[in-house]
This record gives sequence, C-alpha cells and structure tokens, in this order.
Amino acid sequence: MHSVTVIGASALKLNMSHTSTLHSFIPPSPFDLRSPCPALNALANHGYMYAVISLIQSVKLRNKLVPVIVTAGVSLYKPSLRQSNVYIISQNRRLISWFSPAFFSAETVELSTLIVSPDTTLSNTTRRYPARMPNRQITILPSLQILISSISLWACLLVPFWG
Amino acid sequence: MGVSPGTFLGLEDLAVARVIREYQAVGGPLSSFHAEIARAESGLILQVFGGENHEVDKDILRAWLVDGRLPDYWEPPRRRIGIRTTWSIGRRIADVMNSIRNRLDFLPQVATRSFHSR
Repeated sequence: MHSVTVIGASALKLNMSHTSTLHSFIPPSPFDLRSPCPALNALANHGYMYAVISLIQSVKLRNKLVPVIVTAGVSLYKPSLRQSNVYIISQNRRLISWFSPAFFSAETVELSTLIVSPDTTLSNTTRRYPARMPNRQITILPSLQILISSISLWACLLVPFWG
Repeated sequence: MGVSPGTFLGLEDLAVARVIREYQAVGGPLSSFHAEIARAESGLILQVFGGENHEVDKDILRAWLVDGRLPDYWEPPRRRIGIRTTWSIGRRIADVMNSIRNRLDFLPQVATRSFHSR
C-alpha cells in the first residue's frame, strides 16, 4: 500500500515556503515511496509532491507506473522553470531518480525512458537501492505510454528549462 | 562529509567526494552519461545550497542528503538556476576530479570524456 499525501494546488499557492506548517517536515513511513534522489525525497517529505496512483485504472499498470506530480517544489530549488506539473514515472514502485524539476538538464530529453543508477548520487542510498543494473546500461522501458509521455515532456520542458 | 575538516564544503570537496563515490560504485564504473549527471548533481548542490560563494554548510547538506529534510534556517536561492551554469560547474568538477585521479595511481582511470562534448 502506498501512503500518499494529497495537497490541493490552491493550498500550495497560499504558502509554499518549506518553513510553513503546511510544508513542515514529515519523515516517511515504511509504506511511503522514496527514491535515490535526495531532491525528490526532500520534496516528498515536505509535502510538495503527490502521486496520482488512483488515477491509473489498470491494476497491472498501476503496479509498474507511479506518475508523480511535483507542484510547488520548484520554488525551493529555483530551477529556470516558471511552472511545473511534472510527471515522473517509476518502475517496480521506485521513483526514477534525477528527473525532478530540481535536477533537470538536457539529459531530461530521455526523461522517463531512462533509469539511472544510484551510484550517480552523493546520497548514501546504496543499501536501500542496490544497483540492479550496471552503470553502463541504459534501460528503455517497453511501454509505449512511457515513450509518449517522454516525448511530450521533452517538448514541454526543454524550452523553459533553457535559462 | 569527511572530505573536509571545515564547516563548509566547496567545489573541490565535492569533487573529492565524487571520486570516492565512483571508486566505490557498486554497479561498476560510471558511463560518461551517468558521470555527467552525477557531476550535475554536485553542481546543483553548490548552487542551491551554497549561496553566492558556492560553499555548502555541512549541516544543511547532511540533513538534505541523509534525512531528506530542508532545515528551517536554509533559504532558497534567489537566482534561478539554469543548465549552462550547472554544466560549467560540472566541467570544473570534472577537471578537479581528473587532477585527483592523476595524482592517485591506484584509482582506476574512469572515462573522463564529457558527455556533452561528444
């Protein structure tokens, strides 16, 4: 079971500071999803992102994909992006790291088709996320939906990111 | 956190941390693509948490990396952070990493060619 915090977008606009009571730090429970990416984890622990698992109708697909919407987290890391509604796809209930609005780059071109090894982060996540694949392998997920979403994200994100 | 005795971590300290991290990589040596992303992370850390001087408070970094927490006394950056600055910092980190690897013979020579210079 996933424990997901849902916060309305209107509430997020009221006070987006990470020091507000709305976004105070809440450590993850054992059932919460967390990624190797420390930026994503901080956003999740402060209630800046929520998953829309229930919107996926197919149970089989739901177990594989978890689209995550990051709403106001960009106000913290200040990427060169005005507004963000970013979908981050995960496989096997693990968020794909590095593709948050905080960690964007031209490499986000392949946004949701790549899985990056935990070895790329300074965060000590090796125990929690053992590298299942060698660092030289790039896995392309077979799902056509992911491919389509990556292409659309590429088109939406590349221009505003270039700052 | 142990790469520097001081309170703050700079670009060179993060480069040392990256050399150690890649030496300990459990999935084998990083490809140039992954290495570029890894250096971009360090570059973003310097920009987001380091302020204008690009020096990161260890306590803030520890809270963020280990606990996934943003301390109350941390202030978000005022400038927007773009790709080009991050890449340029990543290049500087790569240069420092290469100089460290050249001095330490026992470290395996990892592909140092930049991903975006291809």
